[in-house]
Amino acid sequence: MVDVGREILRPVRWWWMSFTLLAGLALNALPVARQPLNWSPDWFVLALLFWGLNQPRQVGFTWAFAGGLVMDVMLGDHLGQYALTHVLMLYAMLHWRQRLTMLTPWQQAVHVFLVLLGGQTLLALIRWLSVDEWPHAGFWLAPFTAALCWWPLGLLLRLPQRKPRVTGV
Amino acid sequence: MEHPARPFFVHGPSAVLRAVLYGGAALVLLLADHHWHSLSVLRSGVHRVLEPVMRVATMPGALLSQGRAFFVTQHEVMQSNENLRQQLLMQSQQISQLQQASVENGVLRQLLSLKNQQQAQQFPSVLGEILYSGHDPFNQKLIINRGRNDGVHDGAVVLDVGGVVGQVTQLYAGMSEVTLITDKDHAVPVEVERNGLRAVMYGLGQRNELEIRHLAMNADIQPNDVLITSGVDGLYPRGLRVGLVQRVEQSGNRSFARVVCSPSGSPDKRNFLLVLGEKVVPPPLPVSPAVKLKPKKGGHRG
Repeated sequence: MVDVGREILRPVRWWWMSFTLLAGLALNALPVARQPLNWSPDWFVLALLFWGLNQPRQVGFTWAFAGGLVMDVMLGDHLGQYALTHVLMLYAMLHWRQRLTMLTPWQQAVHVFLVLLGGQTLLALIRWLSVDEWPHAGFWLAPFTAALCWWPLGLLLRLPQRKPRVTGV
Repeated sequence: MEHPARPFFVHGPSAVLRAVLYGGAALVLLLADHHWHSLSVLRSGVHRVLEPVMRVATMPGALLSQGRAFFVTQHEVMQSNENLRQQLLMQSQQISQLQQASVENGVLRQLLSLKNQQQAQQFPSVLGEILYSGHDPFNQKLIINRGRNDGVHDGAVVLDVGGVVGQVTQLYAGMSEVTLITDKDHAVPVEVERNGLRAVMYGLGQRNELEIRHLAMNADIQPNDVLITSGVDGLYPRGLRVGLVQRVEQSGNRSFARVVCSPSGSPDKRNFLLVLGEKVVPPPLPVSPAVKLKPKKGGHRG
């Protein structure tokens, strides 16, 4: 297995991080979710957790909060529910940061799964407290698919950092 | 983890403090939105910034369907033209029948000296297209591409070819959010077309099921009964098709019959919806000395 975590990488560009985060938001807004059994992962959260873990000084709670707010408005539910869950998920990630950076991507994925499951539970709880309704089974599948996406997504997000430098500066 | 992760560089407030600050802000928003519904200004503001971005995000899909439409063969076009012509013929016949019926209806109404509700029945309506549905699996909502600027008003009734689909619950400049009648606890006053039995139909939060509650055990309602709006709430006009009774369960351990229905509108399958433009103005309530009546509103949740 390629140990991505201990490779020497080029510094990441801020616009690449912003682009991936915004692309995550755009993917979440896609009308894929017409099917009742919606198990597509939350792309924005995946990108947020990845950058929060690897570049904690550039991507932090401001992104989590702002992105959450945007999702709240897009998805038309209670304002603030995604903002809250995103902030808490990022905090859990940062709390485990020192351990996580030492692990292999698949071990990281297990932690990510737990964090996402926690976030999903919080969303369900908010819904339950406000309208007294518990989500169906498909809702709980999203953290699984998201955790499966963690490793390939990490490779993808790191792609610009791994290319050898062509022009010497 | 006994020791919390110590930051390498201490710049600005710590992670805990920032998490608490932002989490607190989100919590305040959540509570404010839930309790007072007072944040539509903020929502509108964010939405205005977001609207072009979301249009760009949904563009690939739109382009794809446009491209597909561009490459249809002439044969298909001719065939569909033929079909459309036949449909037009059939429908024009139906329309002439309808016009005749409405004239007859008007005469009958005048004869009965009922209130002339013709104006209320001829709504100037707006045709809208579904932009996308909510990603959130919890709620049954759709976003359509007509908003305040197109004459849509808050609470407008939304129909498709089959029947009532829902109601506009959030109004933006160029879009509006439609809460479907299948949304959890969304109420529609209906009546059975066969015998005029009035009832209230509630959404269950599922795409294809609705429920009529509080109907007596011996109520005259059967499977395959057509349900239409009764118009008693002053919000939905009378006579719009809403659903079909699927099954009636009259078990002895309950005090009410359980009536499960299916919606006639199918926003999952159709892209175009009709938004009724004009608010139905109900006649003034009779002035009763003691009891204060409140007009019931569909889809209101405490």
